[in-house]
Amino acid sequence: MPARSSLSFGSARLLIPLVGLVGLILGLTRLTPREPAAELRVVDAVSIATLDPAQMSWLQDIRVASQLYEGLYVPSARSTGVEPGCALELPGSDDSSLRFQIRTDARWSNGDPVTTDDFIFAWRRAVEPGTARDYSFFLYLIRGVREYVDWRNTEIERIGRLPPNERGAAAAAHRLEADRRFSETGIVREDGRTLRIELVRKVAYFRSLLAGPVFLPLHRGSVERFARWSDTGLLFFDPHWCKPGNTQYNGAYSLADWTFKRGLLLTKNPAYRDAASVAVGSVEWLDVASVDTAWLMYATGRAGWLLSLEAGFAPELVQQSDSPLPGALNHSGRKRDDVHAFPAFGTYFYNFNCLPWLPDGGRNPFADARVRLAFSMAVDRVALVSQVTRRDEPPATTIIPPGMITGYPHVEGAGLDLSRARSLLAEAGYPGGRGFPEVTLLFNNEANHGLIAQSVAAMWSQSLGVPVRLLGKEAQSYREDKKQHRFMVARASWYGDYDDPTTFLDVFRSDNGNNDSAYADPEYDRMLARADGLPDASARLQALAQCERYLFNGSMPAVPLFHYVNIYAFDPKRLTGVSLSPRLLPLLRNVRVSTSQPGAAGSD
Amino acid sequence: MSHRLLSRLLQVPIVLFVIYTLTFVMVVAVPGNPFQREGSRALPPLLEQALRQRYGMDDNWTFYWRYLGRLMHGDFGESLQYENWSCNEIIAASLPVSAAIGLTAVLIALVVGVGLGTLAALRRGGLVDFAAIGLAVFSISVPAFVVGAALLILFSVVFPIMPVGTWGGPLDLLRPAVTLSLVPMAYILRLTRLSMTEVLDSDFIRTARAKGLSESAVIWRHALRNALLPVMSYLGPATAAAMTGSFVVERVFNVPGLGIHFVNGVLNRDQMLILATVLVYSTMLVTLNVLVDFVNGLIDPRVNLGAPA
Amino acid sequence: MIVAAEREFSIGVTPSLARRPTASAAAIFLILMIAACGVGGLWARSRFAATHLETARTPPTARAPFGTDLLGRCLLPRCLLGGAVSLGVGAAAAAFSVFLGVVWGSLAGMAGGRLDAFMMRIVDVLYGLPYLLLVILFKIGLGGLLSSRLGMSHGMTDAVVLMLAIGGVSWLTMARIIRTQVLSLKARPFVEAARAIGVGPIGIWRTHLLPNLAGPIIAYTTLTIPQAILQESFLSFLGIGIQPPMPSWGNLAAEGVAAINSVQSFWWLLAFPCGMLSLTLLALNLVGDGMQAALSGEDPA
Repeated sequence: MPARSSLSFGSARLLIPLVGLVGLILGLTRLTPREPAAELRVVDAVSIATLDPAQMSWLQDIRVASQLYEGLYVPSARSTGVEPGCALELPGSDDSSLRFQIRTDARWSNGDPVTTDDFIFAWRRAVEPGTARDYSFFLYLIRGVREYVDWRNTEIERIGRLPPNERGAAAAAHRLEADRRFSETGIVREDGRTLRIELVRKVAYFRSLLAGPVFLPLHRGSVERFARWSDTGLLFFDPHWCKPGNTQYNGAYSLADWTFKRGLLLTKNPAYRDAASVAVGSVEWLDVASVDTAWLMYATGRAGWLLSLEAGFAPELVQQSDSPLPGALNHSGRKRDDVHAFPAFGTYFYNFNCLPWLPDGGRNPFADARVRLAFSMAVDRVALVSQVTRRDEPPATTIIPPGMITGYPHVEGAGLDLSRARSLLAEAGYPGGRGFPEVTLLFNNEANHGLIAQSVAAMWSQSLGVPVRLLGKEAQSYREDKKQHRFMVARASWYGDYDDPTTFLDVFRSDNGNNDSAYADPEYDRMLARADGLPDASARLQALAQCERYLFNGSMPAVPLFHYVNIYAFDPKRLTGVSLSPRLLPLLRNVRVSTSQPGAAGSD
Repeated sequence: MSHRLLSRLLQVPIVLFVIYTLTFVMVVAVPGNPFQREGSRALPPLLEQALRQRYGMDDNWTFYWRYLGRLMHGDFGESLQYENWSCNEIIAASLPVSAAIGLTAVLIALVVGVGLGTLAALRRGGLVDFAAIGLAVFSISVPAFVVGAALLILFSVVFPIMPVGTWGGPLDLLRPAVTLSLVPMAYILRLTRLSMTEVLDSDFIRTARAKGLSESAVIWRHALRNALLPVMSYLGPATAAAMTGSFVVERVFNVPGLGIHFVNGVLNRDQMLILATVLVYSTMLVTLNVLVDFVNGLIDPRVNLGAPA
Repeated sequence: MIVAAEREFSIGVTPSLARRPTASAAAIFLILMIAACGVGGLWARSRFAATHLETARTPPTARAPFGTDLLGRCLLPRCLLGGAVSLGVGAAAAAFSVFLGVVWGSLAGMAGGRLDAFMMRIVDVLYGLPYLLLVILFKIGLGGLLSSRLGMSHGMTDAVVLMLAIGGVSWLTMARIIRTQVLSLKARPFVEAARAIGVGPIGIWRTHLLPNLAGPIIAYTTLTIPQAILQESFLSFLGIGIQPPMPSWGNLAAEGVAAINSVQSFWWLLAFPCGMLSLTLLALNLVGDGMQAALSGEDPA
């Protein structure tokens, strides 16, 4: 290698770039925001997807929305039900027509009163073709809304086919007509504080829906500034409207700061109608991608409340702790008292593909209900929850979590029965599993789905003698395969959206978009429609229970495995007023922190 | 020389355009609907069409050209998964974080790697040499997720001297940077040791010693400068990779960097976010490669820059 | 954006510090490990998936020397089979990347001029592509093809896809190293002398370049195998590597990391797979160094 001594390479020359580099690094760390001080830090292990209530479908988003906004009804702190929110239901309401009067003390964070127009504006936004999302269809229960949306869609398509120079005028005319048509739907403005809702039919659970995110009001004055009409008549909103400072809130908290995939800062809303009883002045709501890190933040006292614990060591924590809270399931261990496992309004199950043919052209053995029943009877759910998931989950033979819907009886489905399972399989033409094609079990490679799949697969091959192949995929491929029915058995889960059995039973209706098992049974559809339409509340629930019994004692579109359990971690001596609601919606307005230490926690 | 540099620089936009095109093809070829999200209900076809229209993604052809047009204006588009955020906001918030960690990691790797590599070369076969090689081998033999988890538990639970999951102070920079620096440190250490050995055996060092120069002057002024040449060409891509973040490190230490967005973008099929992060990464990589090749060509005349002069 | 282990660059030639004894000991260890994984893997092939929920999470005992995992499966056969899978993927990926990289890098370096520039720009482009997207695309596109057309088993498909994906990325580095070496060697007097006496390009490559390239090739190969194994562990960590119940050192280690925490640690779940992985990588590195040293002794230059 040739020598080049013309350049001198002294240590002083070397120091300059080094010092510069260190300066640059420190400068770069300054570019990012610092951690704010807050009275309470709450950690969730999933990221906020959106703060636009009309677009929400994730639990973590709805959790934040229920701190920021208050609807006509609000989720109950204790049960799956609801309680009155910023309005009172007027006498004369029934299950098909409801009248509300907004409370005089219901105000936005800038002092403006909450008006009927704020609700109508938000609800229209929730169904408009440009902003509608997963839960918009709840508004179709209101008279004229579905017709309005259908008409809007046809008009938008028509205008889109016009030559570009004619679109502007056509869209302007269409906008006026759209305003008029929407005012004729069953969302009726009686006056600035009185709102009437006329439904297409009697809906027993509509009040429960009213607590959902699509029915939340928005501060019309500030959000409307972000509206944009396209030249084809589509209505969009600049998504920046939900950033801090751009809008007002009528809930217990206001959004003071939002850092992408980092966290939110919520501060007490002084204009909230019940602000006097809100104890915690500021809450930092962090999202932490890794569950292990989230736990360490809690365990080292950085955070005072952990909202979910999907970690591999969750079973050990549950078994080490004896929760003093009413409603908690874990009372076994004695080592700690700050981990609380409690039932959630959701169920973990496996869908069978019920189509007659498989995507590869082969005959689908699961088209035969006897085979589905046999597979369901070969699963030892007790072993599964006591040895694999180990979080005190209630084993499930039916899909509706027991004891959560007032007045709904608990239904038992077909449970473990190996001899019956084997004889059913033989009846279906596969004695001892002989001739049965290789079963593929589709799941997403997250949390403990792989462990559950491996143990259920082992149960099926060991008890029924059928070969089972596991297909673990990353989330999007799994979702795509599930939607296209490219599976034989697929992992699934369902959380109830409202306080009624139909939130679960509708999933298996033949025309439901979430019926991934492609179960199509005219008999079930008829039974469900008849039961849902019964006028007497208790007779209706009995008839719905009959539908569930029908599904899980012979038809078996799915194998229920267990009902979900959620885990909170917080020190019950420091944090009080937390309720273990099965809807998993924590209400910060009821919470008290007993020391002034920020992020008080830690009992390690 | 300036002519060659100019022609290499002119090739940069072409290379980036080809990367954009190929990435685009991959993004639309991978199955999975970006508008379908976990836990969400089935999206009616009309709604999906309206959403596509809103994002300028009516069909692949429109998407390709519109997005290219936006890129020309420095606009990386919107995240489909995180609807309230634009890709520009996401990159602006996370690239400085990843760059700070990456640069610190490269700095650590350089100081430790060159330092130990030189010492090892000077004491060949000795204890220092053995320890240095051992460290290098260990650093590339243990997965980053194991090292990260170990550092996290060690300094936050066993010896609770560092906070968990915070970001902003120099202390928060340390553990992620050390985890990230291990692999480049190992490579730099081995490279330095190797080339230093060669240089120390060469004629001109013997001449320098014969001239009566002090040992430190020989090492600092002559040997090290020449020995660092191969380290240079490794440094380019390594810096680009380190500065654009690491999924594992960001996840374990809860650092708001860019690497996590890239991986999640791919896993969520967040199409514009994938394109945006890939382009940020490849721009840095291609630019640094040109720079490294150019500097190498300047220093070592044997390496031709490739393009005809 | 890239995990540090993903795209690494040349380390060039690494002469041995550990002369023969260390390298030979490492080679013997490596051979024993390969034999154990091969034989053990064959033996474990039929029993790695059977679960025994009653005996889950038992620490090492005489019956289960490595302890049992979360589903009560004995960890020893899983580690051996996992080793066979990981070593197989690693070796195949390295072989694939060496072949492509040496051919491409030699061609570019020998050709020089515009062709060289063009070939290197292709490498630049491929470097810039999102590796993770490529793996998913490979998995979906090729995976379906391999299992439906060729009737390959699911575990095999995973391994082949990973091999192609990892090899398909690491050959780029190999190509760059080889090209730089060839460019540098081309300018040396002995090559110019050979050219002057009329030796053709293939002859020059075979008699003068290849022996000099052997060092970097071996050094890089011994590094590519560990990188491929670590790569697979990262993909398993993301859930797109080798799928359960098929074990690999990568997914066993990823499972093990989840079992180590501040609450309750099942240490054996991490210690055995990670220990076997790290020791093997260490041995590979030492053997690489040793072979390097042996080769550089015969260096004609």
